[in-house]
Amino acid sequence: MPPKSDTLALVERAKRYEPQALAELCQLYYRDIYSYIYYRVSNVQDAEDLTDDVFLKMVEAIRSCRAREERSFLAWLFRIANNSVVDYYRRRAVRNHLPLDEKHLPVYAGPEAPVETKLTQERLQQAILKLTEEQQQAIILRFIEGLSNAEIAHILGKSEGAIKSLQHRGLASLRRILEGRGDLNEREP
Amino acid sequence: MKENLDHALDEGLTRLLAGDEGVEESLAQPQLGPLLRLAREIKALPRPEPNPRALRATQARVREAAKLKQQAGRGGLFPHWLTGQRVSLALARVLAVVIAIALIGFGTVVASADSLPHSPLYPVKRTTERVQLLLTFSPGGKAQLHLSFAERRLNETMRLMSCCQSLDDAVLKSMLEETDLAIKIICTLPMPEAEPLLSKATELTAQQQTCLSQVRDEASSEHWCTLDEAIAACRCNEQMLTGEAPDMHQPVVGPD
Repeated sequence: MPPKSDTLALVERAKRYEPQALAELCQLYYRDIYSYIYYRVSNVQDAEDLTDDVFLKMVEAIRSCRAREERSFLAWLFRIANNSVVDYYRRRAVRNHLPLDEKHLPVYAGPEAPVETKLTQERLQQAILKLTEEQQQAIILRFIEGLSNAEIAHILGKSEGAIKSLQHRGLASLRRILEGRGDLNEREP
Repeated sequence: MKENLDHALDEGLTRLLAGDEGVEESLAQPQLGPLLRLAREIKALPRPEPNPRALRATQARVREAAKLKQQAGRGGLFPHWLTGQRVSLALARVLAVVIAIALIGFGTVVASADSLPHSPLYPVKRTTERVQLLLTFSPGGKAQLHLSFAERRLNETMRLMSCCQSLDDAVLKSMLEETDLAIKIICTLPMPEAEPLLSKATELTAQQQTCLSQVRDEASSEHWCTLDEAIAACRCNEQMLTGEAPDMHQPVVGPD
């Protein structure tokens, strides 16, 4: 697998629709995209389907990609992923009532992790899903995917100041939800 | 106040995400501490491991899609940088504008063909004729055009008299000039090529005399002199063309 510094060279080859280059980009970024989508939909099967969809859209749109560095290519992919998730919820229209059965849970912290840790992580994930869409995007991209405010601002089409504010409100809402002081009906706009 | 808090929290988060020890100070603050601790918990959430089979399946589909794109691209007329959605849209717009201008232009030229002097489209008609002449390079073709234009001026003169009882001296003069220009060119042409043009020019000059005589009958007396001079010029031209006049290279110019 090539290092991520070779991303731009791969993108250039991908623009010529070289199957190998596109497959390598898929290999490089599959986990990032899958992880983001997983935390947005909390369902393994749907996350796999949506991730698949993102990479097929990448093939469709690769020639319009203007990425000049590896991080901006990743941001471009996250934008596609974000749009796919939005479409997914639009189609399902059941965003507020996601079931969280066994199939939906990730293998958190490994089988040897204490039960308390697993429960805390599950609670936290459920709480994240109760945030507004934009708060979810900001929180997952910043703390789970490790993107900078500037990158998140680019993906969401907002200013960095707006992203800082979103994070603040997102964390505050999350805290209220975890403390049992907030529920789905108390989402901030 | 809120912006300050956003900023302070962001500074704390940046330290936290970078593993900076200075974050302890922020963690101790009553307002920021709980939020930063929560952020630390989120950061500690494990990233789910994707199923390798799902990855391979996606890669296979991506390869397949790429091959289809390659096949579709081979049939394209334009390079890939000209086939993006935005560029295609821009090209389509430019093409639409060009077609619209061409259609409007063509429509105007067609509509101007029957126009008379004083009509707003008449300058278009004359300009089109000049362009036609500029785009015709063979002497025979130019002579043919001059004869056609002379015929048009004759028709215009007759229509003006018929519909408005008026005579336009400039049109009459132009008819004679076009005829003279045609004759000058015909005289330089070798015989096999000149023959049909000579015949046509002869017919035209005869027709000019006949038609202008009719116009004279309808015109008021103030135009008689002009028309007589024009008819005489046409007669001279006809004589030159039929060999009755001594010098074919000195065509007679009509009224000024």
